Amino acid sequence: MKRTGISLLAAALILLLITGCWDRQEMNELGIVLAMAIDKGKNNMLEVSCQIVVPSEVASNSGKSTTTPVTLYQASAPTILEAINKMTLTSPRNSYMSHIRVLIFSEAVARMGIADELETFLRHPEIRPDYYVMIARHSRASDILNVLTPLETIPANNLFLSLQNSAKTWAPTITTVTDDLLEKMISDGVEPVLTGVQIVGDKQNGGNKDNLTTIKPVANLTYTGMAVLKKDRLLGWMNEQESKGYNYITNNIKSTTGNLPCPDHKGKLSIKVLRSQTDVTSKIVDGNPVIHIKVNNMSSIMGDACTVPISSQDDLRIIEKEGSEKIEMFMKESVKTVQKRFKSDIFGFGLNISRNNPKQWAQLRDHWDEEFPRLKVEYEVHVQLRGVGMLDDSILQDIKE
Amino acid sequence: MILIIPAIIAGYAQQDGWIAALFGIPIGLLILWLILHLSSFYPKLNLVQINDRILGKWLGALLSCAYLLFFLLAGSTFIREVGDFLTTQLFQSTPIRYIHLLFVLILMWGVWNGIESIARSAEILLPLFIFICIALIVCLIPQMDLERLKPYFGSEGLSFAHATMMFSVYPFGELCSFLMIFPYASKPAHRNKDVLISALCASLLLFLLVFISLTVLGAYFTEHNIYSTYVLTQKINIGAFLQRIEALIATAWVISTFFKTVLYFYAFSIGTAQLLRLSTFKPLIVPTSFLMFGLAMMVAPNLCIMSKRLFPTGSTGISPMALYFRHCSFPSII
Repeated sequence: MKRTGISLLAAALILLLITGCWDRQEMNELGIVLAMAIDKGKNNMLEVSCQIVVPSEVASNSGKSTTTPVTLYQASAPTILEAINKMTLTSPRNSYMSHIRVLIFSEAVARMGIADELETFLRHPEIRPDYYVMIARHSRASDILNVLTPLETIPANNLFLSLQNSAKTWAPTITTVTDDLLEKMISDGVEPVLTGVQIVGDKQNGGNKDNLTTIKPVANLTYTGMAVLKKDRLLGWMNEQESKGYNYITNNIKSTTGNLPCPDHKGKLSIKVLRSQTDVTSKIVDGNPVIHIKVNNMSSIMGDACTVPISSQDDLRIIEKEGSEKIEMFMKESVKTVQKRFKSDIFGFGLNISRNNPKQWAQLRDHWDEEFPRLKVEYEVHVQLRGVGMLDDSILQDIKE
Repeated sequence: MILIIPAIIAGYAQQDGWIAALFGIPIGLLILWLILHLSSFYPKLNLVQINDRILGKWLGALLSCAYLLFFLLAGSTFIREVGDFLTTQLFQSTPIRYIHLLFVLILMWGVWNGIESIARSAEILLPLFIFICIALIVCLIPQMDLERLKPYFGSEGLSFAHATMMFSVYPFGELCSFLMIFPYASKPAHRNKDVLISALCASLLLFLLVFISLTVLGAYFTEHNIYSTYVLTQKINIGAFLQRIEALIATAWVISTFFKTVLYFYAFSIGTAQLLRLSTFKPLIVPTSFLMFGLAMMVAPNLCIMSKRLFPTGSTGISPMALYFRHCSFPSII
């Protein structure tokens, strides 16, 4: 009896110890940050903007709403974390950063370097490294967070999902998370790229609820081009074709759609890329490094506006050859631009040499910046057409006759 | 151990850490075999008594003191590791002493109930631990990139050897605490085989963690994330619904560290009792827990220094404490 009493007492005392009240975080006291934008402020300060979700607005059964689903808090301070805590001057809730989806830097900040900001994000125990990093083009970073989006009511989710899907189905985009980004900044022989995001339409009124009352929003967000960085500094932008070439070289193509001319060069074929695999190898020829890029591409014809039949083997071979040349052209353009304009090894050719020819890399490493612009690159592309969709020869032949 | 070993090994051998781990396993098993062999000479005696028998009263007592100090310091370090980990990752505003207190209370309770209760509770919690580890490894397979391991054998010979030594001495050498409990365990004929096989499985698990950490995070972040295994679990994302399960690995790690610490606690208190010729070790349990609680705060001023002092990487040189740890873990008394 006495023993039971002591045990019960001990159990009750332990209950007091394991409440964990020091770190309690009540849901209704947290401002959940979904997106963050970093701009250059006055006096060398950083202007940090947080897109915070308004819980009552995203609850499913709240009826017709009167306010926006998210709100924006801003603060300026020398460091990011200071600015975030400073936001409590205006925000009634503490910022909670575990669910951050996108991090946007303005071009001005990116040109000065973003490593120290990213370091904060990686060191902070509350933040998981699974959000996308991007750079705002043609506007301040905070303006990007000031646009309401249809379909996905929370703009940060809209940005995240849109990038995720387009990286899967559209060649020129890429997703970048912080640890990959920092790894590329740190590693020798490879430099990072980031995707750009911009507002199309009316920048001023995108944050107005009226933006969602028209079928075509007055302002919308779109991804555009790829930013080339050197270490942590922005150098410039690649256009869509060059970005496509970059993704082919770095084996980032999951699937995409393109077009090819018909065998007789009248009209166009739409081609859907089903699979694409790139193998980059490096070798040393006469003491100089040579990069060999081999692309194996499997595609399918999805639209045929040709007046000549495609059902013969020979015609298919011709189209396949056209396709190979086009992919090679993308990659060549991309390499040429980067070697000439940026001189930053975003393709990771140096990393490839260091992994496969470590001895030669030891000699190249210190003057890789001079070596990279004159690096020789060889291409080998095999396009294979698998399917032709649901029709045989184009029905256009019969319409046009 | 499962949380920090990738960082230690990658600190020495970078992308070759997994090879170093593979080399380390047989050497480590040899060390364990030495330990087992030693205990088979004196099946009824524990480490303190063996020291006494082999080296005589004074010399034996001296060596026993060194080992006991090792048990005490290592046990306190484990407590500190748990406290540091939990306050860094999960309970950021909870005072670390508070977590230490809870941990020490459970240790005290475990040792008070004796070795059999400890072993039985380990039997209950082991399946949970194994399940979590396997789940972690399987979930990370899609993110593995074998290119990150190149170039093979690219690290310096000396630091590679250092990594191999770390992998063999650190996990296996710590098993010298078994010498304190062997005489009290039942002795089936195939005990040595069982111990070796389970140590092999455990070291294969550690090897897998090093391997996965290097292929998923890369050598740089494996080395520089203090808790690289924890960061690994943050990377898990399967179909956008199986994600954010890092609290699981924290659970697994606290479970495994608890049993390690409880062994050291037990080894220290029973060894001290024997050294001082006490008839029972129970009066020592409460003072030992006070000692460990205090020492846990004193082993290092902060996390960074702790990892640097205990596992000095390359240029920082070998500081006295690391030397002490390594030599003590080594069963040098055959």
